[in-house]
Amino acid sequence: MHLTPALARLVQALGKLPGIGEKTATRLALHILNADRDYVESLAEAIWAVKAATTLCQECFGLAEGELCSICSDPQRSPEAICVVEEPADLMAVERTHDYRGQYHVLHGVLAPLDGIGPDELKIAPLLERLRRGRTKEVIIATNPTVEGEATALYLAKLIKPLGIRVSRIAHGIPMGGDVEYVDAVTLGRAIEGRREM
Amino acid sequence: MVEARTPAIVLRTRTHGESDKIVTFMTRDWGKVTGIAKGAKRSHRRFVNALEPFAHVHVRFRPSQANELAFIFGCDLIQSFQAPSRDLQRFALASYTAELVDAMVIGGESGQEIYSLLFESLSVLEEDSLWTPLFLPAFEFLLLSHVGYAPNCTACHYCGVSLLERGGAATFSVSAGGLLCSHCRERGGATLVLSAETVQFLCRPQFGGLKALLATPVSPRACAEMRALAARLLNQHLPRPLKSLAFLSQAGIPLVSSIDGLQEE
Repeated sequence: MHLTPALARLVQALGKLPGIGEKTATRLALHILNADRDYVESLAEAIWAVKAATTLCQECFGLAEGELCSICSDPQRSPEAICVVEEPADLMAVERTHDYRGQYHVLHGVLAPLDGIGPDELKIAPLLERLRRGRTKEVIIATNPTVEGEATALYLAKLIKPLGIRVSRIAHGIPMGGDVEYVDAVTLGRAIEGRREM
Repeated sequence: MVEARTPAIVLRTRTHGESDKIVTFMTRDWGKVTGIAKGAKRSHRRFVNALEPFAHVHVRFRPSQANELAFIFGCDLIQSFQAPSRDLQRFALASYTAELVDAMVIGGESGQEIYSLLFESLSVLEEDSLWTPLFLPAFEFLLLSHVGYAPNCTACHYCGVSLLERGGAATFSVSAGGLLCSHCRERGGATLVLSAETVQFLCRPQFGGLKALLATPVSPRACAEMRALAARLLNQHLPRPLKSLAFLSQAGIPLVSSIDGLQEE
């Protein structure tokens, strides 16, 4: 395919985005080429701004613009519960439920000895500092249900329980609308183990 | 297209690109295999729960040419070991054993013995009744033996006399990489003193498997001496420091109880 140098450069840059192959990158590049100048300028400015303005919240280490994120600076959010997640994307996933009104703490990873990631590489020390301020009554650990995620949850529980704070783990089990017959054995086993009284 | 099928244990996984994973297995029939599992992060059919570290699986793959990655078609879970997810120390130990196997095994050699050793070690971690402090040195010695780096523990490295005939106690010479009798110990440079109990334990046939070794009663001192000896032998052969050791120290998890008076000269 014959592309001008500028177009080829844009296709190459767009092709590096997740889920975008060369064909889609070419379609997007041609769309940008044919779009209004105002739209293209605003797109370029938005891409630049997201990189320039986004920082980590000093309190929870989620994404922020400024010292505190919108959740930590919201007086309506209860400081009595902190939900601990692996990555900012997990925070966004919990927020989409609209069921949780507490605060968060983002670890930015999980314990992974085989990759050389220990407690010092994660935001664990700032979490303990937050908890020692004494406003928190419950920590909900929402790391992924992987071997590393479970080990991280165990490690956090070991550190937090002596502070007299309740530690809970998100439930694992069958997805809503799922079919017990087709659920894998490990998930079903966890679901039975974590059953609750009705 | 050749499709290989073998039982295996997942040593490690890492994300590659958006949805693929690069997975290293210790297989029963093909030794250590590293391959790419396309779409593994999204597929709930071909790889469900099977690409977690320490999972015991049945893997289907196309073997690689030379140094290329194998292509993993699918993986079925045989057994998911629960102990590493429920106990931090066992998670650390499982990580250490997996990383040690990954570091010590280069490619397709010694498949079945090391696969069986790893499977046995994860089974031991799973059952409280099987666990003893001898676990780690026993695992390390068996691994060293399977990869061909175990020292001759029955005779003096220099004069060849039977160590048990010379009263049992011996020293391990780091420079010679072997055990020395009481007469030759001066020639050994930096050494580690081993009691008669330790030497006697090391002289026994090591090939009864991990569980058989763990059933042998051993004093805490002998256990610590064997761990110290294994650590020195491994240091000589490991191509790089193990990352899991740094994790263990950061997380404050003791690998072995320390014994006062372990003699180094």
